Amino acid sequence: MNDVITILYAAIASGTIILYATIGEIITERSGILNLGVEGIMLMGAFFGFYLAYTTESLILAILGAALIGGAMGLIHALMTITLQANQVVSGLALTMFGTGASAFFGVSMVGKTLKASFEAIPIPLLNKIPVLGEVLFNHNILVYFAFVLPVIVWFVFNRTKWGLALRSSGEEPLSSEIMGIKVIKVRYIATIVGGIFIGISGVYLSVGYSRLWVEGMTAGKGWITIALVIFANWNPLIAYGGAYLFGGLTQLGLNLQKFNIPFPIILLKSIPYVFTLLFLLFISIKGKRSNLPKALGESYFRESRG
Amino acid sequence: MILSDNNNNLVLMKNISKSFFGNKVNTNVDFTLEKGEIHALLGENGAGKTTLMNMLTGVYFPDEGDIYFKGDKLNFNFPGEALKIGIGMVHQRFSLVGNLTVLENLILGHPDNKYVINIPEKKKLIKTYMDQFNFQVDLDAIVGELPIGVRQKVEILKMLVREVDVLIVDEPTTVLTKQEADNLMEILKSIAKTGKGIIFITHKMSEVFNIADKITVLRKGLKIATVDKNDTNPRKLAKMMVGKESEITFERPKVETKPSVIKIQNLFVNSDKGVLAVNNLSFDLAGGEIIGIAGVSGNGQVELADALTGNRDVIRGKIFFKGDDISNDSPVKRIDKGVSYVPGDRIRVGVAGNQSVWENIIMKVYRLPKFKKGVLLDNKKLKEYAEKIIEKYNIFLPSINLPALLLSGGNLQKLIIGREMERDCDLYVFVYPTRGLDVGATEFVRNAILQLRNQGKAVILISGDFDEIFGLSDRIAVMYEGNFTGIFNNGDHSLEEIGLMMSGCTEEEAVKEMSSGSEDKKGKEVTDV
Amino acid sequence: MFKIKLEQKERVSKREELIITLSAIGIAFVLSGIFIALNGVNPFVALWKVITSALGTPYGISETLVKAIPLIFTGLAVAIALNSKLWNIGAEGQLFFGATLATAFIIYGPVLPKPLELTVLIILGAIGGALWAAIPALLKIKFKMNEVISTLLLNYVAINITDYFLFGPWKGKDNFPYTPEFPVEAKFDRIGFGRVHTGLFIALVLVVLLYILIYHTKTGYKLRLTGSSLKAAKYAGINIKKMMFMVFLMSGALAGLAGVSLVSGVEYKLHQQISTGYGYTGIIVAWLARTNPFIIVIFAIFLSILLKGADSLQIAMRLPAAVGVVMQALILFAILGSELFKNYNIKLIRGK
Repeated sequence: MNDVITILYAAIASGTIILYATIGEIITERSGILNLGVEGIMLMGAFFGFYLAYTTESLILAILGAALIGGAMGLIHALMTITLQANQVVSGLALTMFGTGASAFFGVSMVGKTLKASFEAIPIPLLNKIPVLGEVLFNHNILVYFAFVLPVIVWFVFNRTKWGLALRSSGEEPLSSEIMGIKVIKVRYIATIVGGIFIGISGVYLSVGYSRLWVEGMTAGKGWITIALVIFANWNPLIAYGGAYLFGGLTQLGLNLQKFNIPFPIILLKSIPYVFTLLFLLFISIKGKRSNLPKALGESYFRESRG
Repeated sequence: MILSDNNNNLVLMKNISKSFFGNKVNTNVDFTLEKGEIHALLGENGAGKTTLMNMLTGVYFPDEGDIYFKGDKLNFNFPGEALKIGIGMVHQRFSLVGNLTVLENLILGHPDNKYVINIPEKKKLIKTYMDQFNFQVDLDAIVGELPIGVRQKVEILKMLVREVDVLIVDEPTTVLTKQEADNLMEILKSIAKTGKGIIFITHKMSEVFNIADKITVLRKGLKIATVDKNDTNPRKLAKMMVGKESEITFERPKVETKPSVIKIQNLFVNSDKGVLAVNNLSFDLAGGEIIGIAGVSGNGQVELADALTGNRDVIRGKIFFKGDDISNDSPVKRIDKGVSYVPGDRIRVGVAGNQSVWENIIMKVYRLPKFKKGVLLDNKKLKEYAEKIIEKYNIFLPSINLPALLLSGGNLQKLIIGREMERDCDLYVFVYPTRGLDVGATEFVRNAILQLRNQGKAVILISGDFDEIFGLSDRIAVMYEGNFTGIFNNGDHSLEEIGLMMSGCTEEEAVKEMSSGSEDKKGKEVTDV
Repeated sequence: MFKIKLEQKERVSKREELIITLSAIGIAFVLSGIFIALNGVNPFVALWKVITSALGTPYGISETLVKAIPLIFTGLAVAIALNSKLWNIGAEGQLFFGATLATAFIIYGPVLPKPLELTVLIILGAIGGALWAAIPALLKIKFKMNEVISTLLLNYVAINITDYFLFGPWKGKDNFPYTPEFPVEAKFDRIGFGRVHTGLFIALVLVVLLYILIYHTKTGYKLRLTGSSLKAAKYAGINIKKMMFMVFLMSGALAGLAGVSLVSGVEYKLHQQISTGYGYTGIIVAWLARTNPFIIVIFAIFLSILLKGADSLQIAMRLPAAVGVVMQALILFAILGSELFKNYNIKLIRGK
């Protein structure tokens, strides 16, 4: 039983990485912009956050820094794809390449360093005494707790605010939205920057909140899994919980399978996240579940005069 | 600044002209709309109705002329400005956001929206509009899941919530059932009663006489007339819509026909939207015969052509070609068996624009053994073949290596038709072949069609041009809502009768309608040589 | 009030396009300079070093060519897919899978006389890459699954499979993850210019063969037509799905060949670092070069100059190896950003 609790606890902790990124990407994609740069933004957030946490010992600065860099990278993508009408796929790939390279480039000095400041677990009294669930959910650090409520907040913004309405319509019918008075270009810029901010935060959580170290390429494809998870979650922030934690759980399961003496080459267990993601996607493709796919996703919105 | 004495003028369009790529789509059109008036804009496709209205809503800018709304001159800068000042248009293709609820679509972008949306409050607000105009929709339904008739209601309600003064509806009943259409008419009448002006674009005579106060007829970009409903009748309007008898004659010698080259039996075909476009159609065509299919665009013609050539699936029914059942044959099989298609979309379907001229000419023949050089293609022979065709069909261009999209419309069509004629097929399907072409190219196309017929080929000519229909066809069919309202020999019916058939009347009804007047019934006689 | 108006250019001259492209690359270099400066290194010295190290000595030139070989393969791989509007981001994984399959033959199969052995290895490399590409191909054709994500995810799986063998049955004697050195029959010969090997000839022959295929065969004609206009291709009777599958297989095969060229031509063994992202750099080569196989060679060499230069920066100026990746990304951004200027004239309009 203890093992199960440990695995579930680890699932929550590890799933949080992807949860932040998934929420961020959902926001961006709902506006109609496809941002394939998640992997690169995560790495930059992870590096920059770690760097700040190490040099300033301020966790707040680390988070702010990661948010800033994530937002900046989102801004670059928005500039490229919205204003300069560049191909969204290639721009995202360039962003990934850039983030991967730049984080490795600047991160050399941070390899092997240990943090003095780090996110301590904050047990919530009373709640954490609940059998099983209490130990699994209420002994985490602040970033994990915030991730508990973030999707709900985002859901509320999507469905009960003026902004959310503008966002959801921009990604579906940009021209009609424009006719109704929505400034689609502004909406898409904001969505891409905000998305980048959350992806940056997922990075700093990874390096400072979860692993407490910096290694080049430490996201190991989580950015790509995020993109797949957005599809799996049907662009709905509430389903993102399920996807992210489930995913975290599968990763943990993979790492722990050796304990259960399953005769399977351990090293191949590392493929589980990717194979499962593909299976998720396959499941969706067959079932045709993508009812929320933003109709205008990935398409360039072109207006002859901007001013 | 009030320009006219008439305080009731909502819209005043003066001397409007508009061209696209040298094609004049509207020529010196005048149009007015008064408060509380339902004004029908009547005309065939290509008459310029939608373009005129697109200028009223700022989608396009007029080349000449001015537009006044409530006395002020209009000068739009961005999409959405028209709606802001009170002009709203419900297009043929709806602009609702499918993944949002009805309520969300209605309040989208509304200037009165606060940051947090109070749903009960908004619902109450919308309900007042629904009650005022007396039609109801389920505010919580997801728009993408609604039937088309309801979606249209939402579109109209959207305009009413924005307090438009002018509501434009473009061919609204094409996608509705009879009840939904009747319902719509009632709704529009009640909207007009509140003082709003309605512009109703249509080609259906029955609707015009149902709700219009005034009627403006457009033909080939010109305004023919604006009349009061009480001063006219369907016969007069049909004549205005389709115009005079043409003066062009074509010699159609008697040709030995090959029976039943193509035979269509109870054909059902869907449109892209999954709605029935060809509805239980049956007919027969012989080699050496041209059947001209008239009809307003959008009544299933393109879907019929697609089904014949294998580019669209047959839901039910059969197609026989020279005795073979080809209903399930792939496009390439039909190409090899001798079916030829000259598509309406020249640039995107007829050719691959970025490829060179010669590469486009060989599109259907590159598989022939005579072009093989071992394992490879004999590019030299292919280019010679292309040069031959260019010369034979007088296509003017400096080099066969230029990309096809650089060709003018006329030359492009010559390329396509030349390519197809050289293949010596048995069935030729032409879809709007002279649309947008100049006089010379048009003449070429018509002569080519005639030549094919004289060679004993079966020719289906889908066209909106009556010079062609009357000049070339041996038989004429009028297509309306997926079937033929009439199919008869060229000469059996007049232009006006055909005009009525295009608007929904059957053959008998059209004759009855026309004989209630004192005009000549018969059209041109066929000159047999 | 100013308004920016975009006007579509009527004709774009090749000269104009070239000028804009070169300007973009220039901007990318300036930005790279900033990065380098941030690391305390003089950017001008560094950039000069990039050029001289790659082109200044015979050794430099030969090393540049060595890097160009796999890039030609992956550039061709991505380009052939791109021309049919398909994204093969999985060249890296197909590269590894092809290399692994070929290595498997070397380890488990008989040792054949050199010409035969090399032929078998080349074929296996191509098959391996094609097989790995067939997976996302089928997923797209049958289930409409977007190929960007599927090809990408499979990269990680392919590398993982390679790792399995390297850490498992093929482990070196000292427990390090690399295979023993290949027998001489499985090594490409050097052509006498540094480490440049016969893989270069194979690559160039392939360029010619592809050119012939694309411009002188029925299949090539069908590919060109499909890539140019899907609707026109369907109208002409072409089976689009079959074309799509074929393109994926060809693309994968080319990437697999890159893998074989690396293990048999350069490393003479299989290990984790045989590729420094050639599959991804291939995307840049393809995006820059577009259609023509010969132009791909030119851009492959251009990028390998960059890669060689980055290597030298690492060794000589202690810059992190990732400097090459950063420069590539900046070039890609610059090219992307410049596309708008190639197709549209920017006009400023006064007044409302």
